[in-house]
Amino acid sequence: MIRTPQLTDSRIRGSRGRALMSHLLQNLPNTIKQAFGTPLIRLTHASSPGRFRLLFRGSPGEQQEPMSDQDGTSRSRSANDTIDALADRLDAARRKHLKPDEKPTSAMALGFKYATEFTVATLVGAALGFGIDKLVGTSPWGLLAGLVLGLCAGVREIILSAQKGMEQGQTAISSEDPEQEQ
Amino acid sequence: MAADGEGKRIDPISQFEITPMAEWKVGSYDLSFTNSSLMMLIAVGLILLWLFLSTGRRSLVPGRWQSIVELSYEFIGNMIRSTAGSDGLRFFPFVFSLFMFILFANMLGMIPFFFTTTSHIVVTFTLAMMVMCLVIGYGVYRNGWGFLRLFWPSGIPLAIVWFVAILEVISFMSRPISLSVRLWANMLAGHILLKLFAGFAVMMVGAFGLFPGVFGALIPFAMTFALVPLEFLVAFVQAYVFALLTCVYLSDALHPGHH
Amino acid sequence: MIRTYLSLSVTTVSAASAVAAESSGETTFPPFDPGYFSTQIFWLLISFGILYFVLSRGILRRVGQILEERSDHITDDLDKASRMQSQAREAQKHRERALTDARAEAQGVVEATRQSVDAEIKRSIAAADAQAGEQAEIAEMRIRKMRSEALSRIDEIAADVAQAAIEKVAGKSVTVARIKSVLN
Repeated sequence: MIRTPQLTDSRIRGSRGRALMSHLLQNLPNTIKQAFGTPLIRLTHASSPGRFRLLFRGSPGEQQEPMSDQDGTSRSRSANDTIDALADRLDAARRKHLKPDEKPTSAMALGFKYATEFTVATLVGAALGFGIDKLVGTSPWGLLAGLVLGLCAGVREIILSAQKGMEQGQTAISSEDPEQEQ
Repeated sequence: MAADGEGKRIDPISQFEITPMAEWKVGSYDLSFTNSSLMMLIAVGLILLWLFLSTGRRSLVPGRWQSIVELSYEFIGNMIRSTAGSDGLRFFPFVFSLFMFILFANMLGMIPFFFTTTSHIVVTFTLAMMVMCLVIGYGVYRNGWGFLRLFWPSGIPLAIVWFVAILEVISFMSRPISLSVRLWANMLAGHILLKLFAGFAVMMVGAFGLFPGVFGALIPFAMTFALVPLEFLVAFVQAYVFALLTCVYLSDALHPGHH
Repeated sequence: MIRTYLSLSVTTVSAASAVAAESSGETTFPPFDPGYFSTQIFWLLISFGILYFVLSRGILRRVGQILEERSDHITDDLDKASRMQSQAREAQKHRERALTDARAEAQGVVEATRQSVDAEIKRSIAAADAQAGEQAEIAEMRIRKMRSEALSRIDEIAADVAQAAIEKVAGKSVTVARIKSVLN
């Protein structure tokens, strides 16, 4: 993957070590990207600008020296690669900046929610029925009806939130556009 | 709880007792400053101190503390945006305060010998009623009578719409209760469990002497050890659930027409 | 889930125990002690009110501003970066064009040099040819002259030879002029 420079080249023969170093440094980001699939060295705002510059700046002495034909094309190719890699990272940074990654609702939270809602809805229904019993004097029937209604309300609540949760899960999986508000 | 070894009693309830620190009565109301009030003020003080110190420098490139603040800011912001839409962001300070208050109260309760304010049903119910008052008040202010559409689902045949409306009313009335009971019961149960297991571990050593007692204490000690991180998780999740459901209910106040 | 059921059951148990405790006149279960409801509510409202007030008036606004500034800054930076990137592409294109131009020019120079050298060679070959032809002509002329000279001297030699021969054979001396006249 690393194109080893031709050491017999007259350009390099003079300062072999430096040229090799600068070549390796120039190609290092691409090499890492090819090896690991992701650029390990990222441009985060001001995390380490010095290091970044070190990796991408060609050594300045090189430009003035005469270069052979073959080396010129290979260098322009590597410069193109560098620009492309930078463009990829720029796109990634822009996407990340525009759309912050959303966390799905935690399963534990949903579990707590369902369990209490069902129970409490039943209890509230029963309490309402009991209250009506006290007010009107229809002793067992209000409590009974309230209990049944409360149960229904609890079931309905769970079904509705489950539907909503599934919709959200699906949109979280399928959607790419950030405007997903109802 | 019938744990009477050598006169030592495990009392998992005493940690919830309120002790007045300064008596103060207004009319027939007792407004004494208690350990509970102290913990509330400590929670508020810690939140403000934390936020104030870590955003004091206003640097463009955040330090560690500032980025924690920003993360929580965006955490709450995204939560509101995804549940109540962008116009729910007007309630951002309220939801943020609510989440932070409950989170800090829960976390402070995890420190040994500290009082847990959220383990009292009055506190959680008051918080829940604040949410419901805001929902009803803002819903009526914004939608007028249209707020009642919340209980009148659309697209359902007239024959059963009454039935569904009753269910909706029951659901609505159960909201503050489920909201408060969930938080309260979790905090209460967690603290009772922790106290029980830790107490068992101590009691084993007390009852059987140091040498055999240590082995008896191993299991309850391991349980305590396993429960502590779980309780921290629960403390966070409960604050999260409370804030999340607040957002869901506020969404009803904003858009009562559709669920 | 299990935990929730557990907590709910604890709730019911504790509620039941609270009721039992109240009925038996013992100390009430603290979370249900109505004697402390008012102070709890009061201090909760106070502390939450302080928190809400300070957060909504001060700190959250500041955090929001910081985030907005940063967002603007990052957007600016991204724009700048993409601008610089297009500039870099432009420069790269420019460079490649310059490179090909230079290469073409070099090719041209090489071709021109080759042609001029060819012409030079041709010219000097022609010059050398011309010179060689001249020399050959001169040599030929000299040969021709020498040959004619030699031819002209043949008569003399023949006369000499004849005189000598006559002298030897006839014993008479004959003048060369005589012989010449005879021969011719």
